[in-house]
Amino acid sequence: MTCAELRRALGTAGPLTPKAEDHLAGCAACFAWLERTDPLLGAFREARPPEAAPARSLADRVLDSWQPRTPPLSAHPFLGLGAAAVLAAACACALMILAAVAGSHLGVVPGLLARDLGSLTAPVSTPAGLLLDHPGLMGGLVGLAAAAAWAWSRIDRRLRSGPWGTG
Amino acid sequence: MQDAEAVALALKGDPRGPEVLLARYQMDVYNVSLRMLRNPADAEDVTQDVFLRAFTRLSQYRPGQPFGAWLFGIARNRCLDVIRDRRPTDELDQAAPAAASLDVEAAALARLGSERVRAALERLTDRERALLVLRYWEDLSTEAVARALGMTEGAVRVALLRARRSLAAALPLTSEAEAGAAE
Repeated sequence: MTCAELRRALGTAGPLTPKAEDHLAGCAACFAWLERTDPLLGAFREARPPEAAPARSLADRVLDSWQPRTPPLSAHPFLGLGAAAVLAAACACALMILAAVAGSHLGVVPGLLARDLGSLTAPVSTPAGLLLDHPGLMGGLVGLAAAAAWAWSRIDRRLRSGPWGTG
Repeated sequence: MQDAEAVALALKGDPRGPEVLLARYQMDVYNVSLRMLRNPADAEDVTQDVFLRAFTRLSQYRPGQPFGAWLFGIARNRCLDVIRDRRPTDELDQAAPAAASLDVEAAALARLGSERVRAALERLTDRERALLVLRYWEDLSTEAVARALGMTEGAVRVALLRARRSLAAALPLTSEAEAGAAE
């Protein structure tokens, strides 16, 4: 069906044929023509009701129902750094304990591994020396602290933007 | 205070944020709801619900988007939910069948008051009313109407034509009802 045929069909009484409806559905130009030329739509637009005011108590009701909740945990940034430091220290202690336990249970081990485990178990009382002698271990602990700080910042952001809303 | 500032305050739990947003948009949201629901009590309930939902979901609001448009979208969807939940007796199907056989001349339309047009609107089904109101009173594009009603744009064009014809058919019925009441 062409646009001209549809526009003739729109001017007649009676339901549109399926072909006409298909054309109208797919033709923005014919639809725009229909809206431009239909006098009823003009009257309908003019019948738009005037603006009305809601009850004065409506705003109060909304505000009374909205009560911001405080986040369950304080979002102070130093807490995040503190948590990261505690986590890093805990990981360092756990690593040293594991190394000590592993060293005491291992029997004969290959040379380098025996030396490293021995050096890990010995300086439990000298953590500074442990870190200086094993830069990889220090790097790992720094990485752990950074990961903990990042995780805390994500948790903090999530808590800040959380759904405080209705009480 | 800009909308973005008010939203930021609301996210921090500062009541000044919601107060500003309410003062700015309460009237418009109420009138959108009233035009769609035609009942002041329902419109107030929906308005309250819309703002509470918006304040609860402020984290979903994208700062670059106009806040009013986002809010009106929530309002229209809420109104459509209310319309869907209404009991079937609210549907007036008797206006539908003879719609296509009648048309209203431009001169006759000039004699129609807006009250008669609004009264005829009441005789339409909820979907027809929603289509006409969203397109011609809320000035939404056919694409936006389609999104709001879960239809394709092509289906909206055809449905709008049918709704328009139902409205035209309801107009003489409305006049006859008024004449009968006057006798």
